[in-house]
Amino acid sequence: MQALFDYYRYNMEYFLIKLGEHMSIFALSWAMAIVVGLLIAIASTRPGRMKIGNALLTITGFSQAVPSIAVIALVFIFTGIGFRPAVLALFIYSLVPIVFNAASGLVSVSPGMKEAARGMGMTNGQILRKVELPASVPAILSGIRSAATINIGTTTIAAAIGAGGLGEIIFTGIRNFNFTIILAGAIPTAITAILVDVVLSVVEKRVTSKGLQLAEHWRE
Amino acid sequence: MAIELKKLRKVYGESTVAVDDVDLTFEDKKISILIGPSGCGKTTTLKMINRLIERTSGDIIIDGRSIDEIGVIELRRSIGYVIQEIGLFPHMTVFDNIAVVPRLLKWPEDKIKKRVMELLDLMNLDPDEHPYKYPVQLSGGQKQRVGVARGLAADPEILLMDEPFGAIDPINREKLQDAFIEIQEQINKTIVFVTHDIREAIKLGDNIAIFNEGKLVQYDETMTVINEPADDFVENLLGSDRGLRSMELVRVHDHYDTDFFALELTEKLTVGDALKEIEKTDRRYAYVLNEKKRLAGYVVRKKIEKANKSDPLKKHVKETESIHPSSSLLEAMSLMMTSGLSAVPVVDDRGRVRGVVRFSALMEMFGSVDLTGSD
Ligand SMILES: Nc1ncnc2c1ncn2[C@@H]1O[C@H](COP(=O)(O)OP(=O)(O)OP(=O)(O)O)[C@@H](O)[C@H]1O
Ligand SMILES: [Mg+2]
Repeated sequence: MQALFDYYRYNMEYFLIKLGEHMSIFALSWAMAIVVGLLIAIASTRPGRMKIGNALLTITGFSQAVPSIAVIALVFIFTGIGFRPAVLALFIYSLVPIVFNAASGLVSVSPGMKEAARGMGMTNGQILRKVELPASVPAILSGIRSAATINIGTTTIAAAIGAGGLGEIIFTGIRNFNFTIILAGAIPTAITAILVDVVLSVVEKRVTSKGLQLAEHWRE
Repeated sequence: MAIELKKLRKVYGESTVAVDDVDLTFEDKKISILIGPSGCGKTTTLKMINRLIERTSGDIIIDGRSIDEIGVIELRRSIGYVIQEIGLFPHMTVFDNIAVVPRLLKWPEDKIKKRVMELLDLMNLDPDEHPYKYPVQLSGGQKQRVGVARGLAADPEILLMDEPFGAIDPINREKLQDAFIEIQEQINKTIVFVTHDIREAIKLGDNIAIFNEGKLVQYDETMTVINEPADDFVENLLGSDRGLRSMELVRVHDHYDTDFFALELTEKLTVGDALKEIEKTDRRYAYVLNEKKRLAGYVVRKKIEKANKSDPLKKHVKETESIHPSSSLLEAMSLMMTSGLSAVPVVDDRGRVRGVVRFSALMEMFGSVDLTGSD
């Protein structure tokens, strides 16, 4: 324990830089994945395009089983090493749960509900904004949340392609068989992952309609 | 607003003729029922009116204009649409669900609030408690009331309803139907109502359109359908006990006679005064209303002719039973049987006399129907 504190005391600056790198790789790839992922999910589930949406669900469903290291390795082969390839790899990897969850949320909005909305004179855009998206909030957020957790953990591997981050500390520890240094990298990774998840769960509570939360509650 | 269907036709794909050249007019301010077996084209017909389904050929005319002349979004916002409870938005409160169309129409928020409260009141939902609940917190019947309120929110002239009470248990369905009849008394909309429940059709319908395999088999006033079914198909649909059943289901409110004679009672009104009035008509009796125009009873001409002409009329007023417009004809009939009256006055919630139901009229109405149900 003492050794751990000593590590931080003597390497504070280095640690903060690595933490900063870690968080920027995470934040950048995650944010891009949210934007692009939601756009893909929405675009593939528009009226008349539900078939595409369902196909996408199958594909993303399968891709969730692909190990992150494989994605990173693939991206690395095509784009080389460094910060940007790492962001790209994690972006692609985070995209999968976000698209999968958002699309399954949007696909499962009841046709009766959508038809009621159309029958009342909502335009397609209004149906999306006022009905489909709000009703899919729980699914969308759970995708965003699991993308965040996976992403923060996986960012450690980004160090393997020279992108820095807390993974670099962990790898240093591994190379030197130094358990303290491994922990020095692993503990903050775990803590940030947990913190982000806690923050997101609060966000989820706040933006999910109480009506849906109650429905969830009733189902249990 | 009347809705005219002209040679209305819908073909799905190459050859599924769902609606086959239907011609009919849904009358202004009436409840018109679409009924028939599953797959006969009821929903398709209904949805062609608000263009959720585009027709293959023919035309639909609302208030003299083809629906194509109105923008599709504008058309839908001007027509109330009510489906089974699944149509409510679970993420919105009752208030927000009802407010959907007014908000689409960009009504000011205070006007929306006023309207929502008014509708909750009309639907018999508690305006203190219900608006902030979510659909999951409501019973099936309450959800359906919210569904109807939502359909009525922007005060459309036309309401389209597709089996709105279909998912509700029989007891609550009866209650909803009763409430719905009373609501229509107040709102007077042109309503097209799809059901496959013949009891519901007879109970709610002013007119009934019977469909089979996309074709309109019969379209008539409810009593005409019961008395003169167009063919065996309609007769089967009505069932063998149609006479008694329809008497139980048909409401007084469409079938009372507004032709009756009433006197207004004042302290000073004497038998002589009253007789003078009655003699201007050829009535055998007259209803008597009190100062508040509420029903006080009736006087029989023959009886008061024998009375002292200077007597206050009040002394000779006999109490009478009365019946509510939403009661069934069967109830009216049994009231006549038990009270020995040959006519019962129809009195509404406010105590006003609307008309009378006469025994002779009931006999005429059901004369051609075998009331014993043994056909
Ligand atoms: N989108 C569609 N594509 C192809 N055929 C359809 C479609 N919608 C309805 N049909 C067919 O058209 C016919 C009429 O359907 P419709 O839904 O109007 O019946 P309905 O009278 O409302 O029946 P129900 O009582 O079961 O609701 C049926 O044969 C049905 O299978
Ligand atoms: Mg139907």
